[in-house]
Amino acid sequence: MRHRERMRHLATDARRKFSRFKKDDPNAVRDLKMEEGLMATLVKEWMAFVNLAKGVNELNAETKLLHSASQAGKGIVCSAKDIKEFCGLVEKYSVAFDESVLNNLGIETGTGFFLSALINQSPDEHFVIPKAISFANYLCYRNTKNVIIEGQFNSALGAEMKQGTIYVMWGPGESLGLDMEGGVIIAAGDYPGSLGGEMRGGMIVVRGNVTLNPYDNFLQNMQGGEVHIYGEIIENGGTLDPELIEGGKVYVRGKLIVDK
Amino acid sequence: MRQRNAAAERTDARRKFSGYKRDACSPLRDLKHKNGTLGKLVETWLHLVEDSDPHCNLEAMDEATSSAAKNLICSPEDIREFSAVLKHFEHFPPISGDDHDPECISGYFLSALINQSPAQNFTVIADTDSFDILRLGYRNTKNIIIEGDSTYELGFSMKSGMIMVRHFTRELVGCEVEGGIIITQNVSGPIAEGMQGGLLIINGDVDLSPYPSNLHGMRHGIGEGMEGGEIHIYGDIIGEADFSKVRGGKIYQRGKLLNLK
Repeated sequence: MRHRERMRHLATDARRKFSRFKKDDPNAVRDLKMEEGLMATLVKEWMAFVNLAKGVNELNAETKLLHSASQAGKGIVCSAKDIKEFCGLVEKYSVAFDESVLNNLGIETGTGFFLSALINQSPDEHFVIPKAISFANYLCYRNTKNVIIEGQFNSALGAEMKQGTIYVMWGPGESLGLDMEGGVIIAAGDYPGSLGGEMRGGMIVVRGNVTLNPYDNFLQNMQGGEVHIYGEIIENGGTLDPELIEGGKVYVRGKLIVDK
Repeated sequence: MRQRNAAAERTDARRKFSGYKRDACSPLRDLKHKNGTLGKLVETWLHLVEDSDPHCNLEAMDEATSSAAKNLICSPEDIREFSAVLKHFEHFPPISGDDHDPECISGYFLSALINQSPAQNFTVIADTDSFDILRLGYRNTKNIIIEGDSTYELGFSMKSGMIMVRHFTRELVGCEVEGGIIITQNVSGPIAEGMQGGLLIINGDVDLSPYPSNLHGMRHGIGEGMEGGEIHIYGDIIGEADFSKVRGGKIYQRGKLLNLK
């Protein structure tokens, strides 16, 4: 149920997000033949997964997708360097998808889940995700590693994270640390939007201001863990409602404001 | 009438003592009003500082500190409060004297308390002016946020977990780190000497200018003797960076690999 609501919420402005992508370019698929070895395998697997993920808006596809997320890229062992290189190819080949993929969350969510799976099953510990992947949802899903996100993130970064550290250089996004269980997420700059929804453990640190807009899922149903905000909470139509927090600790500029 | 005389006598008495400074022991007296754990922490720390010898080796100091901290199980709130209280002792002898070493003792003591606490997340206030806390996060295994400017040799021999400094970090951050992550803004001086593993993220500049590589025959740079781990710098490197003694690991500046070995 939680995932269904989340997916519906994410779907609303999908079209707007993809306005920057070019129209389907058949040459891009032809270029794929030029990639060799591991990169070609990664691109093919990713394309197949994204096509599977395009049904994410249909409620019956949700369970299938979540199951597939744990299977994504299974058996492909990549180094941190391979994953960084693959991120460069993702932007290049994203133009190869037809509109049915681009007009819903297939590419965003599929890419996020796919990269998360690659990272979690890699033998390496430290990863860098370049700016090109800023459009992906669910990056670092069920994360167990240390990841630097050089750009911004789209939605649900670090959802159901288990351990490790995610460092986001800057960037808006929403649903940061959704259902997080452990580990640390650090947002280096200001953060507009929702964070810590249904969080159960771990720590989220925001070094800048947090702007609360109407309907932001800010610490809603938080059950545990800690949130540290070192800027100000700016209430721009949204509010911090301690009643919505079930457990955990919230600090603003070092001062404990919620302790449950 | 008698009351008025008594009041006048009190005023005179105050005036007589106005030439004296305030009681230097006030931080200790204030502590008696606070909770027992904080009082115990400060008492142990003061004993350690009084017994410390700036000429003794660091291993001996670490051993003495670890043994004194052994039975002190603290919550993150206790540790935060204790770190904030250190500022009040800056001008209290023996902290202000030259015969003792509050810098190392404070770093080792805080690190030992954090490592043996059952909690996972901690905040430390580094706000002292007259002495710097040395080697905070020594052999760290937890998550620590450092409020204020950080200290020399931050995260020395860190094993796992995360240390985040909100502002500036002084020399020798990330030395001999084995695992975990250190995140900081601008840093100065040589960094990551003898790093074995882990990740150092610098979201700012590395200022090497006070330490030119030939100063007094000393070589100062980035990752001298480094054998593993990664350093990611997202600002400028100010001064001469010397990578000649980097044996392994990776050093990136804005995503570009700098040590091409």
